[in-house]
Amino acid sequence: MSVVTILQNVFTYTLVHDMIAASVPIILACMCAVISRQVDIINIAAEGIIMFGCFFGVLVSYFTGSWLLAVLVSMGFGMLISAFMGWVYLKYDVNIFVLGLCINMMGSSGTRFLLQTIFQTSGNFVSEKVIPIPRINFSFLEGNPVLKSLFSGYTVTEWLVIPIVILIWFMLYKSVWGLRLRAVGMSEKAAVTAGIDVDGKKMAALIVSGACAGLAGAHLSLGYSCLFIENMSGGRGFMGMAAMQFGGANPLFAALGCLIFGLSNSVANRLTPYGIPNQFVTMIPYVATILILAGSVISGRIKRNKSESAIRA
Amino acid sequence: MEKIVEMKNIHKQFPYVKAVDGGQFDLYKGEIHSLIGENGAGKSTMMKILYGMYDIDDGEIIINGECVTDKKYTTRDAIAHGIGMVHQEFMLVKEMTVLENIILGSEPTKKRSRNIAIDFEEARRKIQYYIDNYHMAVQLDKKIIHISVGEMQRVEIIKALYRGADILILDEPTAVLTPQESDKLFEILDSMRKNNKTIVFISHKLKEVMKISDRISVMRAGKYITTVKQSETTIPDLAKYMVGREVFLNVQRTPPKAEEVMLEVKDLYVPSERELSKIRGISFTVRKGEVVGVAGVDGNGQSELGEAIAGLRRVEKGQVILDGVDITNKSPLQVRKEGFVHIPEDRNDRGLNGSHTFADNMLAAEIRNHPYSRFGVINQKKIMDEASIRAEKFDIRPRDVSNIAGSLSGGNAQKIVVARELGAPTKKFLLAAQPTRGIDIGNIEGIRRMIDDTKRDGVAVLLISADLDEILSLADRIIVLYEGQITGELVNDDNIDEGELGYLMMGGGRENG
Amino acid sequence: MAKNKSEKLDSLLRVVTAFAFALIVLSIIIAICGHNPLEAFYQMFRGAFVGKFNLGSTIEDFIMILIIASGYSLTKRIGYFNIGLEGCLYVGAMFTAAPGFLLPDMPSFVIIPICLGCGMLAGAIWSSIGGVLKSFFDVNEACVTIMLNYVAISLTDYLLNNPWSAHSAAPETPHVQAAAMFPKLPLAPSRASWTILIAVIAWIFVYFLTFRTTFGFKLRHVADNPRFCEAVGIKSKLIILGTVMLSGALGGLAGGCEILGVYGNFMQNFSLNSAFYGILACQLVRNDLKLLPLSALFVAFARVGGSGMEYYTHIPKSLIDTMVPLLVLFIGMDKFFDWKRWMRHFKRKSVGKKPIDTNC
Repeated sequence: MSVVTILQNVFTYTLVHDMIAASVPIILACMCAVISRQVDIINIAAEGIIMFGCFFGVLVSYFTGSWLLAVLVSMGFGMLISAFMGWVYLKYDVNIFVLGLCINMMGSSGTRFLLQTIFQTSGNFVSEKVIPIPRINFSFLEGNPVLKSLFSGYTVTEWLVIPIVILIWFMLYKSVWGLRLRAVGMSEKAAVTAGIDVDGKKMAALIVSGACAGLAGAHLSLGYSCLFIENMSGGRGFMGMAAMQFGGANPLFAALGCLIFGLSNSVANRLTPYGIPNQFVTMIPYVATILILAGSVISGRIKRNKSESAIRA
Repeated sequence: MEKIVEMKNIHKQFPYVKAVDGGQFDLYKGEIHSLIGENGAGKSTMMKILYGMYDIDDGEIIINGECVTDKKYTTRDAIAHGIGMVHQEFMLVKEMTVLENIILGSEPTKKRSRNIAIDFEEARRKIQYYIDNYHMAVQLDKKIIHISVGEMQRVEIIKALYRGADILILDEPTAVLTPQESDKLFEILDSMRKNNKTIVFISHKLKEVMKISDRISVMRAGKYITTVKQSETTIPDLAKYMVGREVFLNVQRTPPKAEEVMLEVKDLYVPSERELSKIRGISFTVRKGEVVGVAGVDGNGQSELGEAIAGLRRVEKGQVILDGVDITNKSPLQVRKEGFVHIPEDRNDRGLNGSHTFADNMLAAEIRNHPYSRFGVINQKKIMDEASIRAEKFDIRPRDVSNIAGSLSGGNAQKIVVARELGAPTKKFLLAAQPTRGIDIGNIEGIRRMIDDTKRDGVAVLLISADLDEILSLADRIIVLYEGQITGELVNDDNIDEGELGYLMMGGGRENG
Repeated sequence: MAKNKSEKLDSLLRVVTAFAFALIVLSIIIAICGHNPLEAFYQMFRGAFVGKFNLGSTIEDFIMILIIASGYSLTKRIGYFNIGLEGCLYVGAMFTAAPGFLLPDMPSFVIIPICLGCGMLAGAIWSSIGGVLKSFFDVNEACVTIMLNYVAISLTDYLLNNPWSAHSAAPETPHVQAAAMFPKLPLAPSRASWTILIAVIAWIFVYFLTFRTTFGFKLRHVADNPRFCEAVGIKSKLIILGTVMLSGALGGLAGGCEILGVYGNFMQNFSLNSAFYGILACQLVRNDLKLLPLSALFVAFARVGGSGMEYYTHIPKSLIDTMVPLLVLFIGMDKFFDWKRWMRHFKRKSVGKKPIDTNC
C-alpha cells in the first residue's frame, strides 16, 4: 500500500471526532494541572485522582443508576483527596512530588483493591447496570455523514468541556478570586503585602483542581467508555500536565495543547494496523513540550542578559 | 501646621544589633520630611516601625493624636491610619500588568456579577485620577517586567495612594533610579505636597535631600542626632552630622610596603540586575602588602565588583589580572587556584553552609587537596585535625569543630569564614567584602586585626566596606565607588579629609550626580 | 549534643507512631473485609520469607528496589526529584539486553560487563537530559522526567517491535546469550540471582561516594547552599548534572539486573512502575543510607508478602500496595503523630488560648 493511500485512510473527516473524544479527558486532567500551577504547585497527582474518579463513577452509577450523581460523587471525591493533599502539603511540608507520587500509586492499587472487594472481580468491570453519561445526537444531521460525525454523538461532558475551560479562564483572569490566586503563585511576598491569605488560596486551587481531575475520571469511565479497567487513566494525568506546560498554564492554550495530544494519539492508533511504527507519533507531544520548556528558558535568559548589560546604556 | 505623627524614644533590638536606640521622628501635615543617615543608621527600621512591620521594645507612636502603641500595632492598622510605604524592594507581581498590581487586594467588582468579576473600567477610572493629579505616567496594560524601574516605583506609589494613603514613606526611592527618573520623582512628590499629602523621604544622597525636603532628620548608629529645617542647613553640615563620628575601634595599622602590583583591574564592565550597580569602566591596582579600601554607599556596584573578581559574575569587558595571570571570566575554582581568597559579603548566603559542621565549612575550599583527600577519597581525620588547629588559631567558640555552623552567632560564624580563607596555606590576594558586618564589637576588632596581619604577610588585600570606620582604620589607599564608577582615589594618611570622602561617596566628584 | 539526642528520640517516636497508625488502619480494613488481621500478617510474613520460592521472590524484588533506591538517594540529596528513574530503568534494560543478543558469544566475564556497562551508560545519558535542563536551564525536573518516562517507554516499545523484535507472538526481544546471564541463587524455583551482589555493591558505592569522597562532600554541600558552593569553588551545576547522571546509571543498572538476573530478554511493560517503589523505599527512611537496605527489604516484603497473603487468605494484594504509599505519607507528615504536641494541645485548650504573635 502506498504512503498516500495510508495517509488518506488515516486523515479522514472522522479523525476530528476521534481527536476530540481522545482530547476531552486530557483537557479535564489538564485543567487540574493548570489551576494548581497558578498557585505555583506542580500537581502530579491528577493520575491518581482520575483513577479514583473512574472507579467511583462506575460504582455510583452501578448502585444508583444515576450518571449525574456518579459524576458529582467523583468530583467530590477528587476534592476530598486534593484537600487532604493540601493539608499534608501546607501544614506538614511534605514534598509535593512525593505526595503526588503516593496518591498516584494509591490511585492505581486502591481502585484495584476496591474493585476486588466490592465487585469481586479483577482486571475490569462491565455491567448493564452502569448507566453511562448520555450522548447528544442531532437527528437533523442524520442525512449528512460528515456533519453527523463532526457534531453529533458527543457526550454531555464532552460538550461541557467548552464552558468549563472558558469558565476557568474567566475565573482566573477576570475575577477577583483568580487575580489573587495568580498573585499567590507568581509572588507570594507581593500577595502577602496585599493582604491575601496565601495558604487559603493554595488550598482553594488544589480543591478546584481535584474536582477537575475527578470529573476527568468520571468522564473516562462513564463517557469515553462505559466500564472500569485497572490503570485505565493510562497516563492522561501526566499528558494533561505536559499540555499545561505546553500552554504556559493558560487554560485556553493548554486546551489547545491537549487537542494536539489527542490528535497524535488518534493518528498513532490509526497507524497501528499498517505496521508503521506509531511510537514516534506518540512521542511528539512530549518531545515538543520539553523543547518548548527549554526554549522559553533560553529566550528569557537572553533577554535578561541584555537588560543587565553594563555596556548598553 | 498640624502635627500628625510623633514617634518618641523608640527602641528596637534585633538579635545581634540594636537597630534603633532612642529614635525620634515627627511629621506635619503636607510636608516632605527627609530621614538621612549612613547604612545601618536605623532609618529604614524606624520607618518600618511606623508602618507596623516591627514591634518596638520601648517608646511611643502617636498618629493623629491617638497613641497607637498602647495596643498591638500592625501594618493593617498603619494602612487604616492612612500610612503607605514604598519599600526599597518592590512588592510587585512581575508577570502581572500594572493595572492588576495596583488593584490587587482591593479590587473594584461588578455588582451585576455578585462581586465575582473585576470591574476593570472602574479600576481604570479610579487610577486615572491619581495619574492625572500627580502626573504619574504609567502604562496600565504593560506587564511589570516590561516597564522601567522608575515606572515600577510610580506603580508602587499609586498602589499606596489607591489604598488611601495620606502619609507616604519612600525608602531610598532614588537608589534604583537614574538621575532623569529621580527628577521626575521629585516633580511627583512636589505635586503630592501641593495636594496636602505628607511624605517621608529616606535617603543618604544629600543633594536630593536638600532639593526636595522641608525638614531633615539625621540618624547615626541607631541614635537620633538632630532635625533641621532645609532653609537653615547646608550639605557640608548634613555630611558632618551623618558621617562625623568618634572612631572607637582603631586597629594599629601596619605601614604599607611599596611592592609590585598583585591585582590589576583594567577598564572593567560588569552587568547587574540593578541599573546603578552596573560597573561601568573602572581600573585600579592593588599591591603586595597593601590594603585598598573600596568605600561607597551600598548598592553602587561594590557587590558586583567583588563577584566579578571572584569569578562569580560575568565580566562583559575589561580584564582582571592576578599576579600576571589573566583571571577574567575564569571559574571561581580557577581563580582560587591562583592564590585568591575571599570573605564573601553575606555569610549566610555565600559565606557559610549553615547545615554543615564547622570543619566542613572551614575546609570546603581545600577539600580537593592532599592531605584532606587523595584520589577523591576524603581523609576525615586530617580534616578534623586541621579544623581544630584553625579553631584554636582563630579563636572560634565553641572549639568543637563537629558542631553545626548554623547554630553560631554572627561573630563566631564570620570567624569560621575567616578561618577558611585566611587559614589557607598559599594566598596572594584577599578580597574581604563587608568582613565585620552585623557582628559584635569584640569580634570586629579581632577580625580587623587578622586582616591587618594578613597584609603584613605580604598579601594584597581589597577591602570592600560600607563602614567608613573600617576603611579608615585598615586601608592604605581608598577608592570611592559611586554608581559603578570611581569618583575618587585618596591616600589614607593623617591628613585625609573625611569631608571630601563623604562628598565623593555621595557622588560629589561627578557632574550630574 | 544532648538536646540533639532527645530531638532524635522524639523524631523516632513520631515515626514509630506513624507506623503503628498505618498498621492499625490496615488491620481495621482487613477486619472490615471479614478477615483476622493477625492471620493476615502471619500469612504475609510466610508469603515473603518462608520457603525457597517466597524468599527468592522477596530477594528478587529487593535487588531491584535497593538499586533504584540507592540511585534515588543520590538525587534526593541534592533536592532533585528523580521520578525519571522509571525511564532510565526501561532504557537501561533495553541497552543491557541489546549487546547480549547482538554480539557473538563471549565468555561471561567479558559479556556481562559489556551488557551492564551499556545499560548504565544508556541510563546515564537518558538521565542527563533532565539533569542538563535542571542544572543549566532551571527547568523543573519532575515535569521533564515524567514526560521522558513516556518517551522512554515509547522508544523501547519501538525497538522491541521493530529492529530488535524476537518475531515471536509476544512483543519482546530475543534472549541474551547464555553466558550473559547471572547464575541463580540456590532458591529455585524462584528467579533470584547473584545480582544481589551487584545491588549490595551499588548501595555500598553510593554510601561511600556520599560520605567518604570529595564528590560526595560537594554533593552534600550543593544540596544545602549552592551559592556557598560557587563561592568556595565547587561547580554546583556540574555536580548536579553528575549526580543526576550517576543516579540514571544506577537506574539503568537496575534494569540491567532485571534482564541478566531475572528475565533474560526485554519484554513490553516488564516493569510496571517498579522504580516508584524504589523511590518510596528511599522516602520511607528519609534518605538515611544506613537504613536503606532495611527499607528496601521492607518494601520487597510488603510487595511479595502481599501476594502470599492474597493466596492464602484472599485479601487482595492491592490493599498492601495501597498501604505502602500511605505509610510513606504518614512518615512524611510525622509531625502530625507527635503525641507530646497533642498532650500540650489538650492542656492549652483547657487553660485558654495564648495570643499568637503575627508580626514578621
